[in-house]
Amino acid sequence: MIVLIGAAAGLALAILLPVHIPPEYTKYAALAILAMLDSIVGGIVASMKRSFDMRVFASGVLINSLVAAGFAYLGSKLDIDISIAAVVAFGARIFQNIAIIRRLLLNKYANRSKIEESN
Amino acid sequence: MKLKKMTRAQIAMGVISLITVYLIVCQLSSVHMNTAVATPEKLRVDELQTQLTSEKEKSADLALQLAETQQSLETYRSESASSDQINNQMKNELDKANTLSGLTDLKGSGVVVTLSDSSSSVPDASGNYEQYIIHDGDLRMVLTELLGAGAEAVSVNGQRIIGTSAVRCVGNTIMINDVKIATPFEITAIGEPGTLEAALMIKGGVADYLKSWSIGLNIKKQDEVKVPRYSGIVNFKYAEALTDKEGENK
Repeated sequence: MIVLIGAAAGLALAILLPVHIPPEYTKYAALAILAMLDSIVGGIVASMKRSFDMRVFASGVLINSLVAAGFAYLGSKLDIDISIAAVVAFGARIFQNIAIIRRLLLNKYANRSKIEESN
Repeated sequence: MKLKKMTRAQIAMGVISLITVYLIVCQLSSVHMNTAVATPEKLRVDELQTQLTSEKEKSADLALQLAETQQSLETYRSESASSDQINNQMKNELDKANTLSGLTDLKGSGVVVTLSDSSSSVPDASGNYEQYIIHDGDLRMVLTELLGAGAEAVSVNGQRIIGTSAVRCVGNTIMINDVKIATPFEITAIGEPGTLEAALMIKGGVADYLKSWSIGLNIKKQDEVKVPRYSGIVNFKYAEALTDKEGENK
């Protein structure tokens, strides 16, 4: 719930205080967005499983963002798009976590026999 | 304790989602804006057209401004010249110098020479069209011939030929005085019309040469032709007048 409120607040803030990201930094911003989306989805999974750990969450947001930014920077210096590694890793994790959420929700609301984790 | 922990988790995720959405929206608008700032290659033709029109307007405005400034300069000159006789003499000198350097509109008897690209549709079996269009060299030949025959003032498509004028090929157009001109080329020359025409028509001369490429050449003798003044700015950055003494030492 609070996630949605936060999202709405973010939208409002962006409309009230728009910041223009210069073209050379849009890549980093995109990676930051992915890192945070990954953290949010991961956080939702953790809180649904009642295993949310603030330290894991906070350090995950910070370190993942930093490493992704570092990859992008290194990639631009080496002229190899290493940031793709971050994009793939985050993307795969987001899909994975969404799959877990899906199953958790299905198990919660569809009172049927347990859905196998392998789907 | 457990509930408190869960609330903290919710708040933390709420904050992160706030930042994320904020970033996403900013990113979207930035990407939109950044791609809107188009590079010249991305600009569509009509945008370029608009740009061209506005630049042309600007250039017309500037030309008007230049004309106005020149006029006011002229007023100052005539005012200062009318003050006494020495000044009057100086004004005459200045007028002469202006006439010589192409800063005044001139009229007089002369010829109008029109050059147009080859009219034959299939000029060559080899399809070599390039030989059959007018090149800067063709124009230079005509100009040199006219000046050699005593033309006192010459202009091409309204561009006065002065001491620093260059007739050159830039891309697929010809530039005179840094102004692009295009076919048909109308060369106006003030001088003795008969002499000027003869200079071009002489056997084995310019007219014959151009005819061999079937380039259209039309010479009209006229009692009065007008040659406009040089419309650019004469600005010597490197050249300096040599004093008499320095001249002797050389």
